[in-house]
Amino acid sequence: MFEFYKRWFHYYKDSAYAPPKTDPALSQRLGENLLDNMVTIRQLYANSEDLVTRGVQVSGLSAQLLFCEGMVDNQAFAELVAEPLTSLELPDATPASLQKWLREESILAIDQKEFYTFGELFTFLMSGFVVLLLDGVATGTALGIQGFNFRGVSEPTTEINVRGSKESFVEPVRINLTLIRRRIKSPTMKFESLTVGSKSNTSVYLVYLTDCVSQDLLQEVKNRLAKVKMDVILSSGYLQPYLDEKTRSIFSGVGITERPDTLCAKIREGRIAILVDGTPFALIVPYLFHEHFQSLDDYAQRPYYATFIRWLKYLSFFVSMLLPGLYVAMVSFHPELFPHALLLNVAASETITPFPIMLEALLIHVIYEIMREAGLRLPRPIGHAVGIVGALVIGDAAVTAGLIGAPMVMVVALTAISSFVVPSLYEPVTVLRLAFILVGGMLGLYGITLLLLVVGLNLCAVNPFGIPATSPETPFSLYAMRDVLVRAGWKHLGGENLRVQDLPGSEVPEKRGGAQ
Amino acid sequence: MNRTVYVDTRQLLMVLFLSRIFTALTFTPQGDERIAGSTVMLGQLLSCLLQLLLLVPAWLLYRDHPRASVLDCANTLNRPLGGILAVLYGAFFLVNAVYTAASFDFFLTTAIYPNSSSWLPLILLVGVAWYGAHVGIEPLSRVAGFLFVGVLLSGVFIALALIPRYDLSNWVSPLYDGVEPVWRAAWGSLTRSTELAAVLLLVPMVKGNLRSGVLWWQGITLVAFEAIGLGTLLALGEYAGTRLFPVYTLSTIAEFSIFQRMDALHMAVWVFLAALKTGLYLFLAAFCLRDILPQGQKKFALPFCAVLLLVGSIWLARQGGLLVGLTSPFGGVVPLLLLVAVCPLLLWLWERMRGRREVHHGA
Repeated sequence: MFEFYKRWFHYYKDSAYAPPKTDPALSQRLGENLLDNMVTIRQLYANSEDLVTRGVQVSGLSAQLLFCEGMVDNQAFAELVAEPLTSLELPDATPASLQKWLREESILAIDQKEFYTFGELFTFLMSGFVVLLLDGVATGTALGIQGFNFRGVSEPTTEINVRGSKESFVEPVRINLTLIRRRIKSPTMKFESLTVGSKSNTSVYLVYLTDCVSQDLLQEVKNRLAKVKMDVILSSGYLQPYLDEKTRSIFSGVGITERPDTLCAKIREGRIAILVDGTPFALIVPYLFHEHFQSLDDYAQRPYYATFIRWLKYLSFFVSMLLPGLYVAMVSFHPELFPHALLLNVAASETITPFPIMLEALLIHVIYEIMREAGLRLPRPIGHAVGIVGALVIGDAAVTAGLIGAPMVMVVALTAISSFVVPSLYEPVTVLRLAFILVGGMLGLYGITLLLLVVGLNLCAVNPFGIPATSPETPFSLYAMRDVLVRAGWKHLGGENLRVQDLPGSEVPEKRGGAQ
Repeated sequence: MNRTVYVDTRQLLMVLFLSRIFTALTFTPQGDERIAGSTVMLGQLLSCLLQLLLLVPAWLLYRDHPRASVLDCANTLNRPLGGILAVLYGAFFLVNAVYTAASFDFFLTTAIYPNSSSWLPLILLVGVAWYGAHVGIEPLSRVAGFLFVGVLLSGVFIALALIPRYDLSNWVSPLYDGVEPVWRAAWGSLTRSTELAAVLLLVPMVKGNLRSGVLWWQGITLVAFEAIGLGTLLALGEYAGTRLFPVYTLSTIAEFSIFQRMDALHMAVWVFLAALKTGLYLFLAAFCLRDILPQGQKKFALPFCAVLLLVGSIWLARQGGLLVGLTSPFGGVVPLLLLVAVCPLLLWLWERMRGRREVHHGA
């Protein structure tokens, strides 16, 4: 037995995670000999088929143009790069004079950069730049004339609003930057770029308002992103665990949005947004619990209606999490809590079903989740068919077959609809719902209450970037509560200068914004 | 960013209030058959004044060291003395955690689930309390903020639902049997005010005006006790004296529209409060134990205390006599007096004398 643990420990130790290492050859500097440079590029690029190289004489000097197939705008390449270079005639051209012409006398692309290493060369190549290498010059020039295909700006799919903007983020991060910049035309809004992923070299942008963000908060975000040790970053979700303080918590302190207007509203309150190239979803930190119940439409509607909608969201959250568990607990342990008329109906329906109420609830919820998942992943027309089949199976056939009682169908339907009212909390709510059903079926209201307390403690222990996730409810601030349970009018909200670092319980040392 | 553990005075107030109110849901004025309900209500007022009086030595100590707990002060004066006090305070909190869990189990297996085993609810309760103590005083106090509102709303709801049952003829003069029962009621209430000791240890973790926080806590607790007492007295009258859990009985007879009984609401409140109080005391017991353990072994303090809590509460739940004995004036007041008033007073005097001696030597 001891031997088994010893071997397991060694296996565990040996298979422990090691951060990916970068190829040292990538930091090697370019040489002056063009042929040598091309040999090294071919070797490092492993002769991949997508690398296009084209030798050309520029003013009688050898040069090479390199780009990745399909990532360059052909028309721009022909008009801005190929034509000027091939028709260039410098008197007594030398490598030095040609480089001077490139640097000071020409505009081959709006985004034109000089680089020195093979690592930089590959980063530019793979970002859709055209790279120009000259014989006798130990530097390269990257020309930004990208022309790859991407999805156009379209309507948000997960954060649909009635009166808000109809634009959502897309995959190329540069487009997303313009969507944000168009909304806040202030020099205090800053985009700061980082690169993460030792192989993917993914561009990540921090977006914040220098006069709103706390310098300590910003530094902490940078510190955490610097700890990302992965070779490939394909989605913003890869970075989320590094930004979350307690990864074992059910609730996250990192928010997600696909709406540029929501992002702008968040950074206005001193938060920091993180955009990842290739992902149409931005991360927002720190993200507090009450923010799950806010949406942009709240601020477009009249305050009384926005307040009503907000209460409805809170109610839906509790219904979607607790209702099935409470129902199971009441039927199993506390039938006396039902009003008499309802008790008779529940008893009548339960006597004809073969399964215990807890199993019935679990079964129906698992079936519902399977159908939801299938509907989500399948092509849209088939997804609709799955929805119809699901409605028939759960709503009618299961009751007619005597597998489940009619009140349970009502409970499931209400729960399912409620869970979509606050979509950002869908993940924790789904898991908690199943947990509450289990606990309610085995321990009754006692178990439900204890589990609810555990969930409360778990939520209260979330402290994203030193700010309690439950602030300003607890620790309490009446001033900050004007946009939590109620939505005050714009005459009040517009004048307020509340930053996330100013909320009660915040441990951010610098309370006012002012990062430069 | 450096993590600093701190609790707002308002949050402290809520934790202490909820912890204190837990006993009120069991031991209402009519709980003791020998004392009339209105007499106990007067006793509560007297108890409140006595509690403030007990805190005077602690206040003197706090005035000199606003950011130090009683253990910090003792450690500064004499390290072995600090160790002894840590053991005493730790044992006190652990016993109270055990008592809370055992009395909770008594209620659960008597009133709610008469046929259930006594150890399963205790294991679950101790598990939740352990988790609460593990996440620390900040989440505990934050969750207390939510619970405070919940308890307040459910209390008001039940009180409103009981309006048709209030009968003013149940009221009797508090001095009907003389002054002696008032004193007994006051002592009884004082016995259960174990949160006074918690205040002395939580001092370094509290941000804000602690003195006003404690005064508000005492005031709100008094109002709540009087309200519960009055409600029980007017709705149940003499009948309450025959019930083990009069407030629970109140909730079962409360009716509002289609809600024909509200004991589920009462039970939920009771479970929340029991877990919170046990978690708080477990946290404090582990906090004391950590103070005396060597550096590498501090992490074992909480699991050790939790295991003791579980074993102790399972044992105590089966010892009905001892459960009552712990709430007797002698069993409860003596340790409380020692830890809340005597220890801080001695520490304060010692510090004064040492200060004078140093001044004398300096001169």
